[in-house]
Amino acid sequence: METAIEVHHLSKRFKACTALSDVSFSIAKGEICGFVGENGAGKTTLLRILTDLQRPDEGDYALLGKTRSSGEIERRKIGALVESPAFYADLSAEDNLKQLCRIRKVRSFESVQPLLKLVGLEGTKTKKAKAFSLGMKQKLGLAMALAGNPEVLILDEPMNGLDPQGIIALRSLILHLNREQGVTFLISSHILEELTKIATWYIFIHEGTIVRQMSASELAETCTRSLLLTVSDPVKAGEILTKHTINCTVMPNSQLKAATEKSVTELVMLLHEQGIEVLKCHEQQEQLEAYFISLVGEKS
Amino acid sequence: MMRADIYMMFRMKWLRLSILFMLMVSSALVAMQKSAMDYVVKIDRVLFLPLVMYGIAAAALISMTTGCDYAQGFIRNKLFTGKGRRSIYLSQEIANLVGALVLYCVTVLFTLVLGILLFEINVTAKTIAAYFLLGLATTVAYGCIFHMLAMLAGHSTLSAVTTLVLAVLMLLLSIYSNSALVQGNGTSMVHQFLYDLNPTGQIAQLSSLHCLNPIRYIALDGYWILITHAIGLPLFSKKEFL
Repeated sequence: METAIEVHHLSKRFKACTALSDVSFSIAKGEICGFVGENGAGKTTLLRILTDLQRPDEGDYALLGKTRSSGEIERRKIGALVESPAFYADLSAEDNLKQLCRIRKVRSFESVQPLLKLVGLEGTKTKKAKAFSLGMKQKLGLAMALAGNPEVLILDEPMNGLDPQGIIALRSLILHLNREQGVTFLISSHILEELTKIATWYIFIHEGTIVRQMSASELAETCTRSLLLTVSDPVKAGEILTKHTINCTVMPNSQLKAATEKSVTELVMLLHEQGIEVLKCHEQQEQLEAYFISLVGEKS
Repeated sequence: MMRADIYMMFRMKWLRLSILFMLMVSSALVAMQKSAMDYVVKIDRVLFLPLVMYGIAAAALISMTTGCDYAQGFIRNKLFTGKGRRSIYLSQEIANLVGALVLYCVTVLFTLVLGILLFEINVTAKTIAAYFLLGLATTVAYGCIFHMLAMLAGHSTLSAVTTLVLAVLMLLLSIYSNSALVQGNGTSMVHQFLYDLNPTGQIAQLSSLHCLNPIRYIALDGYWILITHAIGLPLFSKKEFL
C-alpha cells in the first residue's frame, strides 16, 4: 500500500521540554487521518515539522514517498492550514488566491472562482479579507490550502471559528475531495465528534508520544459496545475475562471495562463462578471522546 | 515567486505611502532652502538633501512589506511552491530592492526637477550621474540590511520597530561622525571609516556632493551586501517558525 505520510522516530525538544519523543507512524494514501491529542500533546509541533516550518532534532519523515533528508519532497503537492490562515488583509479573497497562484506559478486564474465557490466565499467580491468574520477567514485559509490541487492536505483545527453550517460544509468538502480526488488528509481537531464522521484512520498522541494508531473500523469495534463493571477484584476479573478472550481494561475505582458482545448475564455468571462479585454493571456506547480519555487515562 | 513578490510590493500601500512621505520631505526641504536662507542657494545644496530621511522611509517600506511575508503562514505558502528557503529569501530581497530603488529614483528625480526649476544649476550632468550611481549602491546596502532585520523579526510590527530604530541610530551616528570630521579631531580616520560604513553617512556625503573616498564607499556597500547574505541566508535556512 502506498503511503502519503511516513514519520520515522521523530523527536523535537524545546529547551527542557520534550515536544515529540520518538514519534513514528504512517498514513496510507487516500486516508482521512484524525490526529487526536490534548493541548500541548505535540500535534501542532508535528504538523509544523511536516510543513517545514520547524526542523526535527532527530528522525525523518517522508511525504508521498520522498524523505525530508533526501531533500526531494515535492511540496507543491502538499497543502496545509496550520494554526491561523495567512493572507493579505488588504486584499479580497479572490486577490489573495490570485497572489497564491502567482507564488505557485499557476499561470491562469481559472481555479480561483471554483475554489471560492467550493469554500462558500464566491459572494465576497471586493470585500477585503480584514473585514471577514473568523469563519470566513478560516474558509479563505482552506481555499488557499486547496490551491494547486494538493494530494495531501494537513489541517490543524480546521473547524475553529466555523458555524454549524460551516462545519457541515467543511465535512462535505473533505469527503468530496477524498472520495472524488483521492486527497489524503491529516486533520487535528478538538471537535472529536466531527472527526468520527469523516476519519478513516486515527492517531492518538499524548505528551509527545504516539499512544495508539487504529483504523476507524477498529475504533468502531472498540467503541461499539462495552460493559463497565464494578467488581470486588478488578485485576483478577481482568485476568479471567482475558482468558476467555474478552478484551478488557482495568479502570480506576474498582472498575473494569469489557468490550464484548456477550450478554450481561453471561459475563456476570462467568465472574461469579470464579468468586468475583459484580457490584454494578452498565452498558456503554463509547464515543471517540470517551475512548481518548480512557486511553490518555491509561497512559497517565 | 520573485514576480509575485514584486507584484505585492507595488500592490500594497506601503510603497505609495513611502513615496508620498519622501516627496513631502523633498518639497519641504526645497521650500526651506528657497525661502529661509539669507544667501543664494544653488542646486548642489538641494539635489540629494531629502535623502537624509531616505533611511527611515526605506526602513518603514521594507519592514512593513517583508515583516508580513516572513510570518509563519506566508512562509508556509511559499515553501509549498517547492522552492527552497534560499530562493524565498533572495526573491523577497529582490522585491525589496526594487521597491527601495523606485523610492530612491522617484525622490531624486522629483528633487532634480524642482531644483532645475527653482535653483541655479552649478553642477554638471556627469557629476549628478556619478552621485546618483553612488546613491544606488547605498540603496542596495540599505535594502539588504533592512531586509535581513525584517526576516529575523518575522512580524510587521516588530520588524518596523527594529528597522526604524536602526535607521534613526544610523542618522544619529552620521551626524556625530560628520561633526567629528568637521572639527577635525585626532580620530578622524576612524570617523571617516564610520562615515563611509554607515549608509546614512554615505547619504550625508551625497547631500553635500562631497564623497570622501568613492572606492571605499562602494567597497563598503559591497561589504554590507556580503555580510547580510552571509548572516541572513543561513539564519533563515535554520529559522524555526513558532
